[in-house]
Amino acid sequence: MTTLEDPPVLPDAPTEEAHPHSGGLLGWLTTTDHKAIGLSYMVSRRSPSSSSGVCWLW
Amino acid sequence: MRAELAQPEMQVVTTDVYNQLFTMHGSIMMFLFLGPFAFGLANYIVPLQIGAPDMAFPRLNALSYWLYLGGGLTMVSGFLTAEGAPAFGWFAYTPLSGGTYSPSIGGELWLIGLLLTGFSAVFTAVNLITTIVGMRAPGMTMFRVPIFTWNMLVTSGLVLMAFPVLTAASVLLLSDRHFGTHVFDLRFGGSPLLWQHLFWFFGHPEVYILALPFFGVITEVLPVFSRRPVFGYKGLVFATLSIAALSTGVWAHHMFVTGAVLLPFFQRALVPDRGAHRGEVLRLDRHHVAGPAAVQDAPAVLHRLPHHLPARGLTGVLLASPPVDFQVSDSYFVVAHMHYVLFGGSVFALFAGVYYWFPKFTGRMLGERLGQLHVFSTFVGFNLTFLVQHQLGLSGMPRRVADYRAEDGFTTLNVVSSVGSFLLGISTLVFLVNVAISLRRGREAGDDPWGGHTLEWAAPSPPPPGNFTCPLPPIRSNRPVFDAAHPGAGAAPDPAGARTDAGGEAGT
Repeated sequence: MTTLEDPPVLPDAPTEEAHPHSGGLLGWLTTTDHKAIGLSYMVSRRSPSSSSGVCWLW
Repeated sequence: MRAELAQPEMQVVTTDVYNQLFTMHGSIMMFLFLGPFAFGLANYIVPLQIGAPDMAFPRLNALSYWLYLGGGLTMVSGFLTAEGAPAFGWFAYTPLSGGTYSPSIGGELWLIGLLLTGFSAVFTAVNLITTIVGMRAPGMTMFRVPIFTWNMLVTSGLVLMAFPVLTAASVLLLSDRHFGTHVFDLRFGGSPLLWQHLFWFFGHPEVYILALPFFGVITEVLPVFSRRPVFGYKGLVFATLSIAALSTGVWAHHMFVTGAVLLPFFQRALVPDRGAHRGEVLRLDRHHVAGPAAVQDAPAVLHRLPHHLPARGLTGVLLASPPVDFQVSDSYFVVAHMHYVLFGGSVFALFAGVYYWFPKFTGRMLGERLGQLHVFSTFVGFNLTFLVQHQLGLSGMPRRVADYRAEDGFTTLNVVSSVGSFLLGISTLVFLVNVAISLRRGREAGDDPWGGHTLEWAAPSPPPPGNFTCPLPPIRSNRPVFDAAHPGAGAAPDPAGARTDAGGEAGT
């Protein structure tokens, strides 16, 4: 049961294993961070469109 | 495609290439653009909104993304083959999509890409549902969950209902093409119409899979800039649940002209479906109508977006009537309807979401002037392109044609539509330039530039691994950050129905 007197909550920190701190291409390929994956979806949503255009020109 | 149609009897590309282009345009937009963008946004925002450090299954999350990217690239790689991409339309009706009429390898690549992206969507849906159900911060009851998260929960449920059907149908079609089965082959006792049933059992919910997340985006953005709580929170939740439930029972209205479906049943089944949708639109519009003047730094897209809310889907009410559907089916009216729903509704809301959460993603604001230019040119370009297509359809111009004759009388409206589409292209470039400039030189945003309501605005911008560096504010309503920032304003009405007076219980 939750009451108004609940102490402030700090979510558990993710484990080191879940978020390897390597940057660059390797970091992108191996990340499991929800924010990096979310941004990858939003940015690379254009890659099928772009590659489609490139493929067609090819 | 619009260059090809800008003038009668003009040949920018061959007819076959035009067929490939509209097939891949539809496939990319339906399978690889709006849905994955919504899942990307949810990946980023949902854990933040519910006070969680990450998704429930981070490795499954990564697998989902790579399946999506691999599937998308597989789907479009048909352009690299000798016969080109498939040319049977994004709906892939049999027997046209079968091995007899579409034997090219592009068809196989399309189907395999569809399978991979389907698995990606299902895995992401499972992950989101588990995250939302199991990882909410203490105090965040289901009726305190932000509407965007609610809508992603419902959308994920729809994905689990709809995508496996399409995946199974794709396997059957691949089997027909390769292994000599005759599931969709009439000559051997199969049924081409079965494909349409299976496809639209996926396809109708798919429209809502592409719409509900962006309804959620609008419902996050409008209350913040109208400086009031979400209007009719519970009504919105139940309307969303109703839309999702009803959308699984009306698939055959896409098949009225086959003459093989029970018209009265599917026509009447659409009435509550459209009613729930209209109700949700009107609830959202109330924020815009009743709210005080938007604050100065509100994203410009907000001023334009609500004009499209009543219009989106309105033509869907007309198409729910079989006599109207018989008249305009396979005409440009349907093209206009579809684009008003998905562009006028979802894409405008997508841009609203980007303007709204860009400061959280990057720690910087998007440029206001380029933003105004982008939204104005998108608004004008969109209406120039698609509004006139309603009239083209009513005048008898069929969809999926690469050409028309001067004496058909379609020239003027096609010129207008093509000019509008070029303007849309330019407006997208303006947006991309704005993003590029703002990433380098954008104004520092701070953690909460808008006076936001929900927990993502309690995290640093951009959030670090684990998301939150300070203790979360107490969660006593569906806008805990606003409550913490304005303790004298009184808590927002708690949709959970809990008492908010000191010492009272606030729900379980």
